[in-house]
Amino acid sequence: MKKTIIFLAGLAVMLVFPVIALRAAETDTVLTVWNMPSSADEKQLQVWNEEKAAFEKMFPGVKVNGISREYKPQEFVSVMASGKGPDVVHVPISAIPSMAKFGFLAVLNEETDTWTQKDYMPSIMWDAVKMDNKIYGIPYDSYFTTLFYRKDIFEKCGIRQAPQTWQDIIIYSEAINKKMPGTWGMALSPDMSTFIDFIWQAGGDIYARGEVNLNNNGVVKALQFWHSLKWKYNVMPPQNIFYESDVEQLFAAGKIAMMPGVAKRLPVMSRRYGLDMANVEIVPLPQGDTGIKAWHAGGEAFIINAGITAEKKKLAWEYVKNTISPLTQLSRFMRMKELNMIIFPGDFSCATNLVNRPEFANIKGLITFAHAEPTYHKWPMIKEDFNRYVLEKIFINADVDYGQVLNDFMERVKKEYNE
Amino acid sequence: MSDDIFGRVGNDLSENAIKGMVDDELKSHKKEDVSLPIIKLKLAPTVDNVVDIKKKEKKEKPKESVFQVPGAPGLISVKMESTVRLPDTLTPSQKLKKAFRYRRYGRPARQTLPSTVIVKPLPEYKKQDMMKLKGYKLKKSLLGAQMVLPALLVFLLFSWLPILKTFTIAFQKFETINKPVYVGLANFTKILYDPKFWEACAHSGILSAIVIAIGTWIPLFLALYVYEVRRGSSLLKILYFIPFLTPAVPAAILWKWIYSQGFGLINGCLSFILGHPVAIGWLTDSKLVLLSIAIVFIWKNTGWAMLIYMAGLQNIPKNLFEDASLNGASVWSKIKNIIVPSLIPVIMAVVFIQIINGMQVFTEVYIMTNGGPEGSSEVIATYMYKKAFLYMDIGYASGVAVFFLFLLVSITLLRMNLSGGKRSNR
Repeated sequence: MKKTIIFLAGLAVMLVFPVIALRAAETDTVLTVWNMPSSADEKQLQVWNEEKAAFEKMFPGVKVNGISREYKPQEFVSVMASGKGPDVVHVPISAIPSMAKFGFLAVLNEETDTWTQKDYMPSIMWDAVKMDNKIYGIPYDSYFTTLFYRKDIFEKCGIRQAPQTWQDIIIYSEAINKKMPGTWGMALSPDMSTFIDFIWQAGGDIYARGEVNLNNNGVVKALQFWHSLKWKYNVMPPQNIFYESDVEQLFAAGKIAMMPGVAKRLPVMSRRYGLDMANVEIVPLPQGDTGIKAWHAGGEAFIINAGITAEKKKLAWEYVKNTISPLTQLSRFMRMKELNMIIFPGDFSCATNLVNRPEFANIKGLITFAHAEPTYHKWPMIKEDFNRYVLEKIFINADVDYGQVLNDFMERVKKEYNE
Repeated sequence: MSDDIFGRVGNDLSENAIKGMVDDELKSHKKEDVSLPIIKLKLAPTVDNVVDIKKKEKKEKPKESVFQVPGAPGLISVKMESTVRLPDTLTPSQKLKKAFRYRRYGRPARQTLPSTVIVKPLPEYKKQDMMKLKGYKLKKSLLGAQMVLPALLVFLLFSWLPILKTFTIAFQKFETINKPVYVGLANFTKILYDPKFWEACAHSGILSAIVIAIGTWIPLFLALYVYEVRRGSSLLKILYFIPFLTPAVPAAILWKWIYSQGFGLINGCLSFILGHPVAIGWLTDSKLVLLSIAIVFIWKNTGWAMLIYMAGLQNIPKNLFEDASLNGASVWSKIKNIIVPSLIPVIMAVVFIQIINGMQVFTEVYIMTNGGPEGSSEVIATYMYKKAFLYMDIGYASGVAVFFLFLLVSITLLRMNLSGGKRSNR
C-alpha cells in the first residue's frame, strides 16, 4: 500500500511538473533566432547576449532563443518543411530566391514601406532580396569581392603597387615565384562566386531576358584567362583543384601572395589559420582589358518564417528592426572596440558607414560598381553544376575546347532546369 | 623369511622401515599369517591395501542400495531399498539411462522417501485463484515484450517510419513544402534514363571493388600476424583499431591534408625521396580519386575486419596446426590448406559487409572531394544527398533511395543465400 502511494505520488509529480513548467514558459513569448555566434566565438557571443538582454528588457514577456547554427540549405529546408522552423534566420542573400520560391519566407513589403532605415542600405542589396516586387528579406551586412594581398611578400619581392589589371596578376606572380621559390602569385578555387566577377569584367553576363546564358564571349574570355593562369603562366601552386579553405590556408601560410575574397572572411582566417592581419591589404579586384569595373556583391539578410502567426511576425520584425537600428549598431561597435575585437563589415549592418575606417580606404565607394547574382531560384544549382562541369574541367585539363565545354553545359542546363 | 626380514631391517628398527617390510611380506605371502621375529602386529586392512589376512566367516548383512551416494551416506537417513523400481511407462532405453545415472550419481533423495508417505490431496482451487494465475502467467509472458517496447518504438519511429515515408515520397513529385503530387513510377523511370545516376552507381561499384580487393586481405594478414606474434599483440590490436574509432569527419579532413597535391604529406615524402617536386593529384586526378578514397575507407575499417578475422582464427582447432607442423608443412601451406578454408565463412561475411559499407560511403567523399573532380568521385549516397538538398528534388531523391535500398537488400540476400548454402553442404 505504501509503495503504491509512493508510486502514485511520483507519477503525479512527473505528470504535473512539466505541465507547470510549460504553463510558466507560456507566459513568455519565445522568439527563436538562428545563426547566432557559437560558443567558440566567445567575445562575439558575449556581445550578442548583451544585445539580446537589452531587447528582452525593451519587450518584457519576450524571450529570445538564439541558436548557433550556420545556414545549411539541407538543414534549413528540412526544418522549415516540418513546420517547426525558427522565427528569424540570418541567411546569405543568394539563398533567398530559392527559399522564397518554396514558400518558406514571409513577405515584408508592408513592414519595410515606412521603415526609414531602408534608404541607408545600398539599393543592390534590396534588389537581391526582391522577387516580383515582393521583399523576402532585410539586408544585414554587405560585401563585394576584393583582392587581398600579402604586404610582407610584396615587400620582399620589391613590389610597391597593388595589381590593377589582369596582366598585373601574371607579372607579379612571375616576380614572386622567381624571388621566392615555393611561393606563388594566386590560387583560385573552381567557384562561380569568384568567376562571375571575371565574366562581368570581360564584358559578359550570365542572365538575360529571364534566362541563364553562360555561352557568350565574356564567359569564354574569362575562362581563357583562368585557364592561362593555371596552365600557361604557372600563377597557381601545383595543385589542380583548390577548395575555398585551401586557398585561405595557403594565403594565411604565405604560400600565395594574392587571393580574391570578401572582407568578412578575414576575421575567420585570422582565427582559424593564424593570419596576421597586419600583413594584409584589401584592394579592388584587378580589371580586365575592357576596363569594366564590376564586382560581385553579396551579404546576409534576415528572413522571417512565413509559417508563424501575425503577432509573432510583428515581434520578429521588431527584433530585426532593433538589431539593425543605429543605436544597437553603435553600441555594438563601442563594445567590440572595448573587447579588442577585429572590426569588420560582416558584423555590422550595411546601413552603417563602417567602410570609412582606414583599412577599407582602398575600396571605399566601390559598392556602386557591384553586381548582384540573378534572383533565379535555380541559380544555386546551376552554379554548382558550372563549378563541377566547367571550372573543374579547365583546371584539370591543359587542352580545353571552351566552346564545346560551354555548349555541353548549356545543353545540360536546358535539359535539367528549363521547367 | 623372518631372518631375511631381520637381515634386511638390520639395525634400522624405525616404524616406517618395519611397516615397509611388513607390507612386502603381506604382498608376497598374500593371505598367510605373518609372524615377525621382533614385533608382533596385526595390520588393519586399509583402503589401498585390501588383502584378507585371514578368511573369516562374516555374517551376511542385508545388502544396501548400490545407488547410495558415496561419501555422503549420512545425508540419507532413510533406509534405502536395494533396487529401484522404475516406472513401467519408461522405454527400455530410458530405463537403462536412468539406471546408469543412478549408478553414477546415486539415487536422488526423493527416490529414497518411504513409500508410506501419505500423499495429501491438493487443495481445491477457486475460480478467481485460477484467473489470478492466468493473469500472472500472461504478465510473465508479456514481460519481455514490455521491456523491448520502448526501444522498439524508438526504432520504429526513427528507422521504419522514415523508410516507409521515403517509399511514399518516391512515388510523388515533391519539392519541399509544395503540395506533393502523385506521379506513379515517373521517378523510377527517370532513374533509368539518368546518366548521372548510373555514373554514380559505377563509381560506388568501383569503390566497393577496390575496397574488397585490398580491404579483405590486409586485415586478414594483419590478423594472422597478430595471432602468431603474441608479443605486443594487444598494442597492435589497439593501434589498428584506433582509426575505426576516429570520427569520419576529422579523419576525412586529415586525409585531405595528407593527399594535398601541392603541400600534402605523401607528395612531400615522395619529393624528398625522389629529389624533385612531385605533385600527384590524389584527389584531383579523376583516375586516382576513387583509389585514394578507397584507401581512406580501408584504413578506417581495417580494425574491425581484423577483429572479425581474429575471432575466426581462434575457432580453428589447434591440433590441425600441430599435425601440419609434425608433417613438416610450411607457413604458406598452413595458410592455404588450413586457415583460408576454415575462414571462408568469415571472409565471405567481411566481403559482403565491405561491399555494403563501400556502397554506402558518404562522409569521405563529401568532405574530401564533394564528388569532384568533374563528378568522377560522385557516389550514390552523395548524388542522392545533392538531389534532395541542393536540387530540392526530394521525390526523385527518395526514388533513388528506394532503388539503392533494393540494391543493398539484394546484396544482403545473396550473402544470406551463399552462407545458407555453405551450411547445408556441411
